[in-house]
Amino acid sequence: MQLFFGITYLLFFAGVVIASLFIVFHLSRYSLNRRLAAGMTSLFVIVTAILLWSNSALFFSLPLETLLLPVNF
Amino acid sequence: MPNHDFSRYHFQGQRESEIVLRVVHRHWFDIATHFFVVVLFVAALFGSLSIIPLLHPDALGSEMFRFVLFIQNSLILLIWLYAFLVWIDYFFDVWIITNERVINIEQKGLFVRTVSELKFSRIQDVTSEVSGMIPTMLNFGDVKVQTASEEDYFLFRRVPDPYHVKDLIMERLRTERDDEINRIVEATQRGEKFRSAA
Repeated sequence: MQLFFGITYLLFFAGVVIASLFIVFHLSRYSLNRRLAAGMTSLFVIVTAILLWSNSALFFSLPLETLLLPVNF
Repeated sequence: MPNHDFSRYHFQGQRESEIVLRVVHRHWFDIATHFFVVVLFVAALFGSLSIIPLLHPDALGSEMFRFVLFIQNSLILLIWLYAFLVWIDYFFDVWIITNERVINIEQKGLFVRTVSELKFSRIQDVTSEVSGMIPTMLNFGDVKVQTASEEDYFLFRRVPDPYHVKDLIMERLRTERDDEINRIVEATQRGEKFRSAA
């Protein structure tokens, strides 16, 4: 069960990273105003990095063995 | 409408002699409705984080509270991505008026982007429309640019100050036609000089 949650989280993490890369690509390639593009891209990258870091920290701090006790099989 | 320097805007396919006169995005009210939902959701998430310790003081530090934090963090991450997708859909939907043509760039999601252009010489008619209480109060509406073909037209949807956009296009259209008339007159005069020289 822990492996299942680990793989699920890995897929979620990878999906977020891929979506973020697409967003950064669009911001940097299609923006008409270079200064605004740089500002928005920086804001997005910084906040996303913080959220991803805190998300993975929270996930790895979860005591999955105790939380999943009722469903362990 | 305050004067804004659009000369520092550049787009793909812009020619060397081409000058950007105006870049038009949809009115902020259009995106505000999407972001209102985002703000409500985020407020609900943070509100629940404040309420849980009040209702269950023992919950702080417990394993279940950490799990709730993880879920909420994941939701905030997804909302953050959603907010930027909405922003991209709004900000990259743009109409560019240059001294040579009108360009319509439509961004639909991340993977569909349509670019179409209309030269001033093909424009027959420009109509602006503001309809409804909120558009009237906030001064936003549609501008329809009609070509000679009934089926071909550009539609500036929910843009701010549509009357000014219409006036800008009409002014550019008059300049284009005056230039065309001058070119024809000069060509005619050159032709007459050639015949008289012969």
